Amino acid sequence: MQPIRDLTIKDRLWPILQVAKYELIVSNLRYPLRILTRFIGPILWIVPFLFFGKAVLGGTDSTTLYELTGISHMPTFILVGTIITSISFNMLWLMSFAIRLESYRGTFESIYSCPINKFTFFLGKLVASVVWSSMYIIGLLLLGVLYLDVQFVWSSLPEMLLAIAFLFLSMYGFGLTVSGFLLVYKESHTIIHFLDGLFSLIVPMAYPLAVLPSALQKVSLSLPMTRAVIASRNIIILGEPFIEQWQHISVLCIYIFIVIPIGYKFYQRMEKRAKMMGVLHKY
Amino acid sequence: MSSGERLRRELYTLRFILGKEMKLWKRYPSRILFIIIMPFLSILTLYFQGMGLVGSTVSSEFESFAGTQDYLMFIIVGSVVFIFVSTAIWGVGNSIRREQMMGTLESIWVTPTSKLTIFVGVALFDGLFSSYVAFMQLLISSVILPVNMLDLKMFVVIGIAFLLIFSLYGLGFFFTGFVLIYKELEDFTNMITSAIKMISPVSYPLSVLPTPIAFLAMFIPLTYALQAIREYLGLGEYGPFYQYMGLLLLFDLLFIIGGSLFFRYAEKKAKRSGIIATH
Repeated sequence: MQPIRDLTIKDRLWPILQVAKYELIVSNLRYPLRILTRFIGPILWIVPFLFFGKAVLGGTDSTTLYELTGISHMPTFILVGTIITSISFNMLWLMSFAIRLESYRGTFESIYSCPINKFTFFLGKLVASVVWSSMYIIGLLLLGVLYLDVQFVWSSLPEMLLAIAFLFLSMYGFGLTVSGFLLVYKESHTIIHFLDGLFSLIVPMAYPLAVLPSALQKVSLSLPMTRAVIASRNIIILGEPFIEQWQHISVLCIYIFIVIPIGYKFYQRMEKRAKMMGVLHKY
Repeated sequence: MSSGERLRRELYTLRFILGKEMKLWKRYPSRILFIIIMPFLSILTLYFQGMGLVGSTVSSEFESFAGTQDYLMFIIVGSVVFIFVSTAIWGVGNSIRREQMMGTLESIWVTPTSKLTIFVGVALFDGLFSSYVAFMQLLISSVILPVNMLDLKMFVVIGIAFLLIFSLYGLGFFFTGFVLIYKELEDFTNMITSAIKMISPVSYPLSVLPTPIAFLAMFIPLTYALQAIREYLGLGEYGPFYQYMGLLLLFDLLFIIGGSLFFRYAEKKAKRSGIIATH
């Protein structure tokens, strides 16, 4: 079908930015306590691991950790894991729960009847997620520098940020798939909480992958967040070049170039199914 | 109405509230599985972290902080007792919001039943459910991890955790009042639950914490329940058992009174400003 008029880049960007603005500003100003929780959340997430590490080590360095990963400084190891997992879980919630959340907020019908496609809607959520995640990164890096005495190869920071950019895009396909599933399955909260808990366990955030049973290691290595955690640690702590992380980056690329189109198709299929079953708007 | 008749009516109502809660859980069976699995995942996470840092389930450094080398048993006990805390906060604390989201708040609010009876019903159900989940944690941990938690002493542990419940429900009333005023509190509840877990000796002893944070832990009843339980189990060296139990009961009283007063204030405020049924 011919469009009514040719769309400029500005026309195409506008809805994306509006969705992001709604998510970042309008929604958060309506519930200001949420802003507080977003800032404190990552700190509450990392601190128990640091205290527990201190309790079992009596300090900050571990020979066992060094033997397994080549990194001995426990806070540095955990900080990188926390940065990546915070970003991943934030995206998982914001993308996967995007449609369901609108349903809870009572704005589902308004958004659904907007003349924009869902891919654009999800891109808006992605932009919001990138902004929130950038704040997490800054906050956690500050925590690391000011209180944890992190041992980073700072010259490799741009390369680590590049790896994080790949993570953002790879999580987009992942989020689309989960979001499609949640359109049909009603207990979305339970599923995302469960995924959150499961990924917290199998993604090597606070411990090396080698301590997991081999079956879990295989599952973990198929996840984009695991690849991003390992690549980021290799880059920013061990100072390895980005190009040497090709194995991890290629998995992220698979998520970007294969899972995004498949995820979007899957989402459309689930949407159609939800409409046929009449459960689209239901809780 | 005589007090006997009143009590009979309240107990009759309580029966239906328990039935309603049970029906809700039956409606979403996968949630039960989720509630049972989630606490164990957090135990496993710390187990793997310990293995990654020291290579075994005992640590001599841990002994210098906690008085026991067995950090795995330490964290399992902490996690099991913490189930009561999170269930109380999420259950009672969010019961109003839950009814609101389900569209049943108005129906419940106008029934000729005391609000206290409604909350006691929810609290009682949560207490029984928490005990079941706690038992399942002990069972799963004993089967999967290199530790044996199935001991008759654990009944005493769950009994002490039950004593903790009263103060937690005081906290739950406080949350309920907060929900009435500030509405969407899922993130906030998450934050408070994580903060309580962080500053109380759930996964590590108090001596690891910086002094100001350890000082804050003194105002959380969970701290005394955990100290009493670990003292009873011989997991470290703490103060006298009865002293902790006395402090726990004192906090029960203070939290119940404080929480109820705040809830009444919040309810009055929400009714006056007309926000009681808004999202």
